[in-house]
Amino acid sequence: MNERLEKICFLPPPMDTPWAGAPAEDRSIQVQRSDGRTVALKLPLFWYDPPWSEIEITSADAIAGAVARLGVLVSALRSDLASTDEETELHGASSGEAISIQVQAPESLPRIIPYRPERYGLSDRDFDGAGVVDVRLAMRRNPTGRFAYTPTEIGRWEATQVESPLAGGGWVPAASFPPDVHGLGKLEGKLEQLRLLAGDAAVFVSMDPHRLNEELPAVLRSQPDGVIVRLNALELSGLELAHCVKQTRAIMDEQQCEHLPLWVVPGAISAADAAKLIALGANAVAIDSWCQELINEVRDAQQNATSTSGYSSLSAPKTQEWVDWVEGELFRHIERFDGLMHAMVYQPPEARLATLSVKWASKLSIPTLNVPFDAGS
Amino acid sequence: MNQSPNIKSTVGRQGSLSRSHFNGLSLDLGAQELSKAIHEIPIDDNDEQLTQVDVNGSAGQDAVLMRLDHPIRIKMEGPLGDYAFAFNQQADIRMTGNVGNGVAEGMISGAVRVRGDAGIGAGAAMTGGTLAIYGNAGNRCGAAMRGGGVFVRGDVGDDAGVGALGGMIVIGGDAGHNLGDAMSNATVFIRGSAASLAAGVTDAPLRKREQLRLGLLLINASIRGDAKEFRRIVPSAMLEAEANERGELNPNWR
Repeated sequence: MNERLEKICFLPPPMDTPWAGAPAEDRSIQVQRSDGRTVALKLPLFWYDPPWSEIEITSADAIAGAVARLGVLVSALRSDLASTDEETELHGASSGEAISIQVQAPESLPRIIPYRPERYGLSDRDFDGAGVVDVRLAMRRNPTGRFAYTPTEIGRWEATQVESPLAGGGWVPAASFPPDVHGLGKLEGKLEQLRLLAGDAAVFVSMDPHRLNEELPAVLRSQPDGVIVRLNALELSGLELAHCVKQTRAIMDEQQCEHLPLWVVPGAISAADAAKLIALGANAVAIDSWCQELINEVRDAQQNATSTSGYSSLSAPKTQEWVDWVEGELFRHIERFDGLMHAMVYQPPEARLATLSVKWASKLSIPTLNVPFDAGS
Repeated sequence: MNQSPNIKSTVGRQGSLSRSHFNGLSLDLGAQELSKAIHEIPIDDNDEQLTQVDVNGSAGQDAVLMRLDHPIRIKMEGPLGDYAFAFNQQADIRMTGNVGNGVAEGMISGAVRVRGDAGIGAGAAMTGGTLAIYGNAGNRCGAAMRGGGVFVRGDVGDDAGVGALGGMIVIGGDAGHNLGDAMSNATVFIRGSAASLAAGVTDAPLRKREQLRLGLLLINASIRGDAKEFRRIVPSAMLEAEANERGELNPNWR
């Protein structure tokens, strides 16, 4: 896994730190809605934009459920994972001990509703038991680069006959902004409506970073319960990524939004990168690159029956085998992240990260390591 | 706001059929209590007449009566704020006065009749049912519709039907610019004129089947009018497909 923030290291406690025992194991995060209600989530990790239409619908449902059982928030509509009349694993299954969401129905797995401007595929039942409503104010590009949805996506969301697909089977343009909202200045009313529709969910706004200085303050004025910044929309170096997180947090603090969660979608990262981004000011991190490995495995296996992934031997998708398989793939990442997060708690927030690089230290306002050699740039 | 709803039952007469009629439900109860009270109202055994309830105290409020799923007729006075009647099913709502933006967003079934004007995005993302606006509607009326029908007796603003995947939009008056932009399998019927049509949509003659569909919508919306007075606005590709007798939806449009 690519280490984008390898120039940053975790700072251990000084050698004379008294042994006071390990800190309590609790990586759960709490999100406060503007009405005072609290949504608690087990892990500060989420799967922001799963490409559900790339794999068969039953496989998508099984993977979504299995990932959510690990405590990761999973973004999905019901129509992504099942046909109209069927229940999905993600939307209806028992969560066991995997999550501890205080105000949600106890059987709900941690789930994000992707509330896109045009709402294709969305149903009223999506609002029940969701942990987060993600109001997406960023246009979606399909693999060709167009701001559009693929025929496969539209076909998954909107049930039509095979011989008469929507738009003749062509792509469908994506919307730029909710058509029933009179601009950013009136977004607050839409967020308030969504809090009523999804009574147990925190309402976030997700946005692209291209005009962050202008658009983030406007989004903050609409009083979301949190902000998701899609940093993967830019090709950022490690230093740029870290700096952008730090600066975004600073903008939010300047706008008197110190309390507001900042979630980031960084693109490909390692478990260590995820922990470092949180130490730099993010409150939760998207792990799409880890989960994409699952999608790739299943898609390849479905395209090629001779795949060695073992998928073809999993005859009943909604079984413990699926959960075990997903756990095996994802667990090493999550466990590493979990461990690093636990170790960070030994140090106060301002003393958790350091670097050998003067350049990185200067840009990120973190200390340089006090060592007897020059680390170069 | 935790008081129990005080529902006073009366029985009225309309024609030869009796109708259960509940008075006195108020939004002062709080939105959740009101919704609960409405869902607890027993349904009339007579399929031809819905039980009717009057709701008051809603003037000026946003997000009124969302996610109702009950076969009941509701009468209320406006004006209402934004996002009224979102994601409703079965309910037949009749209101007098203007409504704000996003009325009947995501409506699934039933009907909403507004005797007044509507703001922007009326009927956005609705999947079924009928939204009838007896005044004018703002920009992006019927945006991203996936089914159902929107009827506007008066004029609509710009970008009506933008991104609609299905359903029917009926415009009794004129339309603004860019009518039918990014529309897929939806159909617009217009009696007046449009300031401009979006690229890729065109005027088309009204076929018998559309006359029938339109006639039914006019009846459902309790609107007087002859379907023949309307023109049909559809994606050019849909029209080409019709002309080639290859079905309405082939070939690939983009």
